[in-house]
Amino acid sequence: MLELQLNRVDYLKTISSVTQKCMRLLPRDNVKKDTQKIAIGESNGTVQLFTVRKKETTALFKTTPGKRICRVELGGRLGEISDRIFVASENEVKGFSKKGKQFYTFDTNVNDMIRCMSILGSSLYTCTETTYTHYVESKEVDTLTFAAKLNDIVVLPLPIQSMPVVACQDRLLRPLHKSSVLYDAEVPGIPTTLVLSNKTGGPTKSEIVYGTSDGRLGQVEIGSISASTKWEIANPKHLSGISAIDFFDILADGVPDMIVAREDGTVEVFNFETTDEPVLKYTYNGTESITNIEGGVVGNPNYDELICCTYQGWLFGLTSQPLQNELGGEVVMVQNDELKGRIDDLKNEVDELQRRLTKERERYQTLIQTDSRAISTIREFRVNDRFQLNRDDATYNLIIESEIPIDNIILQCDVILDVLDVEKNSAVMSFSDCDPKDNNAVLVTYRCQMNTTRLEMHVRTIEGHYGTLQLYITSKIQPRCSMLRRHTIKPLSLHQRSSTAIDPNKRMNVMKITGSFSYAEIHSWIQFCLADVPDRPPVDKENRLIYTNIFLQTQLECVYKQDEAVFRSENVSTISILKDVMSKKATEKKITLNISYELSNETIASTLAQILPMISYYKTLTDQYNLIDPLKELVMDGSTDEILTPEHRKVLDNADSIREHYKQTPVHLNRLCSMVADLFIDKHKFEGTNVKAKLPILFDKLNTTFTQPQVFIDFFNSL
Amino acid sequence: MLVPVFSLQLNNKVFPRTVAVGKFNGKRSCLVGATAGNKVFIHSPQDNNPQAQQLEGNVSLLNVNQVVTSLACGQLDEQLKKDLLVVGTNTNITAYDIDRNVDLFFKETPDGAHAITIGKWGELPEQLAIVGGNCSIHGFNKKSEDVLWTVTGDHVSSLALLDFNGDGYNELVVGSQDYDIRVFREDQLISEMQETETIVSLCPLIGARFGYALANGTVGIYERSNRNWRIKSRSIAIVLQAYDVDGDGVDELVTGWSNGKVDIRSDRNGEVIFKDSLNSSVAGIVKADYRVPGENLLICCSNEGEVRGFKFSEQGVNAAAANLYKDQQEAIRDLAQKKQALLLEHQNIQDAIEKIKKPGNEQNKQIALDPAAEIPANTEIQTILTVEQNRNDSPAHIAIRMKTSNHTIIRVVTLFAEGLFKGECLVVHPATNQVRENIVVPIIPPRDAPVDLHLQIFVGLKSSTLYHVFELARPLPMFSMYLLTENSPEGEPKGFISFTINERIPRVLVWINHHFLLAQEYAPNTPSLFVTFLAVRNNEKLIIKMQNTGQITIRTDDMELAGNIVQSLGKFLNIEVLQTAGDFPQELETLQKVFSHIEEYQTVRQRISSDMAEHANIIRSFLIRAEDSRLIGDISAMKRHYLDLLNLNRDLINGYKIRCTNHEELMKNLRYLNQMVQKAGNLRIGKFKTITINQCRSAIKTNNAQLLIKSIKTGNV
Repeated sequence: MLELQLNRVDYLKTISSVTQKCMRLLPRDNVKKDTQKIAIGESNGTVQLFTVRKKETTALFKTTPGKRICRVELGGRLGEISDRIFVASENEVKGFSKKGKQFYTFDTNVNDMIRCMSILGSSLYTCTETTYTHYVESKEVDTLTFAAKLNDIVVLPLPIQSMPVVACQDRLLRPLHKSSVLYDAEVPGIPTTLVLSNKTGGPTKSEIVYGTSDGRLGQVEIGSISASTKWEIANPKHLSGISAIDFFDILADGVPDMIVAREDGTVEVFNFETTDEPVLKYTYNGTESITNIEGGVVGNPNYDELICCTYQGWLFGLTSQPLQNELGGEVVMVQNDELKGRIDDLKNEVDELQRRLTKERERYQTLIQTDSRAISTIREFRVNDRFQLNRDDATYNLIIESEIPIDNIILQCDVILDVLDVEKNSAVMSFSDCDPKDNNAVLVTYRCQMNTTRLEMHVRTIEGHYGTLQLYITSKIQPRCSMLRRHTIKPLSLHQRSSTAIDPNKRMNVMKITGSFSYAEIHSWIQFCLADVPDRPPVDKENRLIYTNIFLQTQLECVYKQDEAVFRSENVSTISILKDVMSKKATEKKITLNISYELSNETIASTLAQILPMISYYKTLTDQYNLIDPLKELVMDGSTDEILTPEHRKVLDNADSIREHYKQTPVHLNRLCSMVADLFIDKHKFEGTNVKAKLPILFDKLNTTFTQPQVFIDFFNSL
Repeated sequence: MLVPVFSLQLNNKVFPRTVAVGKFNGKRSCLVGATAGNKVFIHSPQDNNPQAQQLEGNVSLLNVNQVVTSLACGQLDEQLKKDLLVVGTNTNITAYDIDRNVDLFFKETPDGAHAITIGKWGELPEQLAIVGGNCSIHGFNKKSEDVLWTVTGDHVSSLALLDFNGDGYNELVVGSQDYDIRVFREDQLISEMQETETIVSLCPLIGARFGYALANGTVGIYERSNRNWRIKSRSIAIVLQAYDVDGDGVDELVTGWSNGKVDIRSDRNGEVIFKDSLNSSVAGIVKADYRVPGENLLICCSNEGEVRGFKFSEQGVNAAAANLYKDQQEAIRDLAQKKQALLLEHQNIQDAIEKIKKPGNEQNKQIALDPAAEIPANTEIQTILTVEQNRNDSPAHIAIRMKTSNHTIIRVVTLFAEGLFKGECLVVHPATNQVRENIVVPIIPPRDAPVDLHLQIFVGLKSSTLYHVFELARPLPMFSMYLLTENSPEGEPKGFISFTINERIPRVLVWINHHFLLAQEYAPNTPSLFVTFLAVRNNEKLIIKMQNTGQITIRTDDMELAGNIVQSLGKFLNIEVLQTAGDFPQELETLQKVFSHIEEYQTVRQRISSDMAEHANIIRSFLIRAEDSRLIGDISAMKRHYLDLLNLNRDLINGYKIRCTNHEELMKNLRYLNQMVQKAGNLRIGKFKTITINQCRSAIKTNNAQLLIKSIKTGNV
C-alpha cells in the first residue's frame, strides 16, 4: 500500500486571478538536474515564466498587463519538445519563446473572445463561445458554429489526421472532422474540462478524460464512428465540479496517476494500480478554488510535486518532500527562520501601506470637500459565478468566486425557492423577512468570515415558478462596493436537454399552438422556458428539442417553426406550465394563439406509475429512518434482537446506510408529493375545474395507497 | 498540544448537555450521560494497557422513567468521600449513590430542573446541588433541604459556580432564556449582563473569567462583567469546557459544536489553538483522569455515542517545528492577502485623487478597464429615526428614514443588529419600480434594550449593477418604543412607583435624552419635571414626574417597565441602594387570582394523584378476579371483569390527561408568580432588592397572598 504524504509549499501570488488552463509546466531541459519552469497567464493580461530556486521565485520574463488571458498552451514544431508558450488573450493569440521573445502574433479578426484553444504543430484550434475554427499556419482552414456553448477542446494526435474533440454545454462531446461533426457522444454532466488520457491519448491515441461541472469524471475512447465509455466516476457525495485534470506518476509506482482538482479546492489522486478503473488514493482538502493543476518537479529536483494554481492566483506545490528528515527536523528549522524573516518583511510592508493609505484618504477627503463636482468611481472586481443544475438531487448549485475577499452577499429572488445550507461554507447565513409588496420572495444574507473568496449556495426550485435570482456581492476592501449579478430561473427549471429520442410507442399529451408568430419569436419563448436553448434559432426552417425532467424522468419534445409549435410530454404539468408561459408571452406581443390539446388519461397513469414507486421508496425510507431509534431503544437493555420481526431486524442491521441515504435525499418525498398535487391540479385545469379543495383527500389516499399504484391511479382519475 | 489517547463507542445515543463524569467509588472516574428511553448510562473504563487506542469498559444503564433534563456529579455529601449522581427531570431531582445503588434523596421540584451544578455557593458551609428551573434557582443540601431559593427572569438554561468578585467565595452565574446572565452572591444579585440569545452553556475559567455560549452560535469570554471577546459561527455551540492545551497553567476554552467540531480557543483573544471533529453533533465535553489516575484527559462525547479522549503532551522539537512551519505559512498567506487588498485600496484612492485633479483625462488610463460606476464624491446619506404609532396597515415600529443628498438612489439596505430579528439581519430590497433616493426601514424591537444598528446602504444610479456601499452605525436607545406626547390628565395609569433620590432634575433630563428616542433634545423650562410618553407597543402611557426635592414618581401599569426604568436610572446615576414604594392595581389583581389558581391546581393535583393510586389498586383486584374466572372456566365473568378493567383503564387515561393539563396550567401560573417576584425585586436596587425577593419568597412559602402583595408594594413589611 502506497502512502502518499504531500506538504504545501507556497511559491507565488499573482496580481489578478488565474482561470482554467492558464498555467503550464515547461518540459525540463535536463532530466538529471533541472527543475521545470512555470508559465502562467493572468486575467490582467500578464504572462510570465519563472523558476523556483531555494523557495524563491525568479521570473525569466514577465509581460505588461493587457487584455485578459484565457488560455496558455505549449507548442513546438512536430517532433521537437513543446517549449513555446502560446497564450490566447481575447481575440489574439501570441507566442513567446522561453526567453520571453514574442515571435508570433495572430489576430483572429473575430469579435468574440477565444474561450479555448489547442495547438498541435502548425495547427491552431480555437473556440469562441459557439464557433470552432482551425487555422494552419495562421490561415483559416475549417470553421463550424454550434448551437451550444463550447467549454473545452482537445486534439487527438491520431497518426494520419489529428482529430479535435469539443466539449459542449449540452452535455455532448463532439469529435470533428474538417467542418463537420462526426457524431455526438453523450456524457452524464456538463463537461468543463477535457484532457488526453495519460497526456498522450493512451495506446490508441484516442482516449480522453472529461470532468463535469457536477463533479463527475469519465474516460471515453473516441472511435471513428462512435465513442465508447471506458469508466465513469459518479459523484454521490456531492463534491464540487472538476476544474482541472492531469496525469503524473506522483505515487511513483511506474504508472501515471490521475490528478484531479475540484472547484472547492480539493485535490484527488487516483491510481490505476490493479485495474483500468481509477482508485482514489489520496485527497488534499484546500479551501480555495483550484483552477490549474499539473504534476512535475519544481521546488526541488529530487522530489516530485503537484503544482496548483488557485483562482485568486496563489501558486503552490504539494510536494512529496518531507517536512522533516530522519536526522531531525533541521530542514524545517532553517526554513522557519527564513519564513520568520519573510513574515516580518510582509508585516512591515503592510504597516507601511496602511500608513500611506491613511494619508491618502485624508488627502482625498479634503479634495472632495473643496471640489463639489468630484466624482467617486468604483470599479468592478472579478467575480466568477455559476448557476448550475445538479442532476443527482435536482438542486441548483450557485458558486461564487471572487478575486478579492467578500464581506457579504445578499441573495434576493422574486419567486419561492428553498435555499439550503451548505456544510462547507463558513459564512453565517441569515434569512430576512420579506415584504411581498416589494416583490421579494426570498432574501438571504451570507456574512462572510475573514478572507472568504468563495461561496457555494444550493437552491431548490419549483417548476412553474419562474423569475430572477439576484446576488449583491459586497467586497471587503475600501471603497466598499457591491456588484449585482443576475441568474434566471426558468419555468421548466428541472428539465435538462437530452439526446435520447422519445419512444414512439409511448403515449404522450400533445399541445399544438398556432398563430401568427415568427420562427424567431417562438424560439425566444422556448428559450425563456428551458435551459440550454441556443441564442439564435438554427438555420433550418424547423427545430426539434428534446428534454428530460431530471427528477421524474418524464420527457418533453418541442417541435416548432413559423406559426406552429407542437409540444409533447407525458407529464400534464409540463404542458400546463408551457401553456401558461406561451399565452403570457403571446399576450405581451399582442399575438392571438390557438391552443389545442390532445390529452390522454393513459399518460396520467404512466406518469403516476413513474412517481409512485419513488414515493413508496422514500416513504419506506422515512419510516425506516424513524424506526431506527425506537428499535435501538428496544434492544438497548441487552435483550437480543430475536424479539424483533425479521424486517425490523433488517432495519437495525442497515441503520447506518438508511441514515446516510435519508440524509442525502432530505425532501425528495415532499417534492414528489407536491408534484402529484400539481399533476392533479393541472389535469383538472385542462378539464376546466378547480380542485384545490380536494387536495387533502388526495393526500390522504396517497398516504394509504402509495404501495398499490393501480388503486391510487384509479382514485386519482375518479376524483 | 493535544494528542488523542483513546476512542470508544458507547452504542447509545447521548443527549446534549447531559454528560458528566464522577468518581462514584471515590477512586475511578466514570462517564455518565442521559440516553434514549429515559435512561442514564454509566460507562466505567476497565484497567487495561494504557497504550491501547481502544478503551475497553462496560456500560450499565439506570432507569429514570422520566425525561432527563439535566445531570451532574459531585461530592454532595463530603463525608462519603465519593461523587454522587444528581439527575433532574421536569418534576423532580434525585440524588443517587451509584456505588451502593441507593437513592440519597428524591425531591419534587415543580419548577423543573433544566440545569444542575454541584459545589459551594457563597459562604454557605455545605456542598449544594444547585438546580435551575422555571424562573427559579434552588440550592439543595445532602438532606434535600432547600437552603437557598431565589428567582430569575426566565427559564434557567445554564449555571456555573465561580469566584466572580474575587472575595474567595463562589458566586453563581446563571444564564437564562431571557438572554440575561445574572450573578448571584448567595441570594443577592450582584451583576447582570444582557446578551442577545438564550445562554446555553457557561463555563468557569481562571479567576473571574468565564466562557459563555448562546443559542445563535456565539461563543465568548467574560471577565467579571466585561466581555473580553466573542465570535459567531454558523453552527451552534453545545457545550463549553476549560482545559489547558498549551501547558501554560491557564485553562483555554473548549467548545463543542453542533456540527461535530471541537475547537479550543485562547482565553485571551479567541484564536483557535486546536481543532478536531467528531462524526456527529457534540453532546458533552468533560475533564477527568479516565485512564491513568491524576492525568487529566479531555473527553469529548458525540450524540451518537462516539467518545474521544485527548491528553496534553509536550511537543517534540520536530513536531513543534513542523507546526510552526505550517502556522507561518498560513501567516504569510494571510499577510500577502492583506497586502494585496491594501495595494488595491491604494490604487483605488490614487486613481480617485488623480481623477479629481485632472478630470476628463480618461484616455491615458490603462487599457484593461473593468466596468465602473460613478456617483458624486460628496454624496451623503441622511438618517433619521422616528417612532411610529400603530396604524391600520402597520404595527407600531421605529422607522429608520434614509435619503441621499442628490439624485443617486438607494437600492438595498441591510441592517445588522442583534436580537431584533429572527436572523441576524434585515434586508430591505424594494421592487425595481419603487427604487428612490429615499428609503424607510421599519424595525420593531421586541423588548426594551439598547441595540447597536449597523447599516449598509447600497447607493448607485437606477439600472446600475454596481453600487457604492455606505456603512453607518447608529445606536438605538433602551426605551426606543416610547413616543413623547403632550401631558394631559386623562388616562393616567393607575400603577405607579415613587422614590426619592439625591440628584438634581437636569441629571434626570440627561438620562431621558440618552435613553429615549427623541426627535430633538428634551429641555423643558419648568421648575419640576413632568413628562408623558406613549408606549407605542400597547398605546399605554408612561409618566415621569420629578420634584425639586428629588422625589420621583413613575406612572405606568407595566410593572416590568417600571422596574427597567428604575434599574436604568439607577445605573446612570450610580445609585447603589434604593428603596421604592408603589402600587400596580392591575397586575396585582391578576397576581391574586393566579395565587388562588395555584392553590386550586395543587388541590386538584393531590386529588387526582390519590384517585390514581386508588384506581391502581382496583385494577389489580379486577385483574386477579378476571384471571381467577378464566382459570375456573367462567368465561362470561371473565369477560365482565375485563370489560370493567377496560373502562377503568379509560378513566385512568382521562385522569392522566386532566393531570397533564392541570400540570401545564400550574407550571404557567408558577412561572408567572416567579416572574412577579423578579419584577418586584427589579423595582428596588441593592440590598432592598434582595430583601424584597426574600420577603416575597417567605410569603409564598406561607401561602400568604396579602403578605406577598404588600411585599411587592412596599418592599418590606
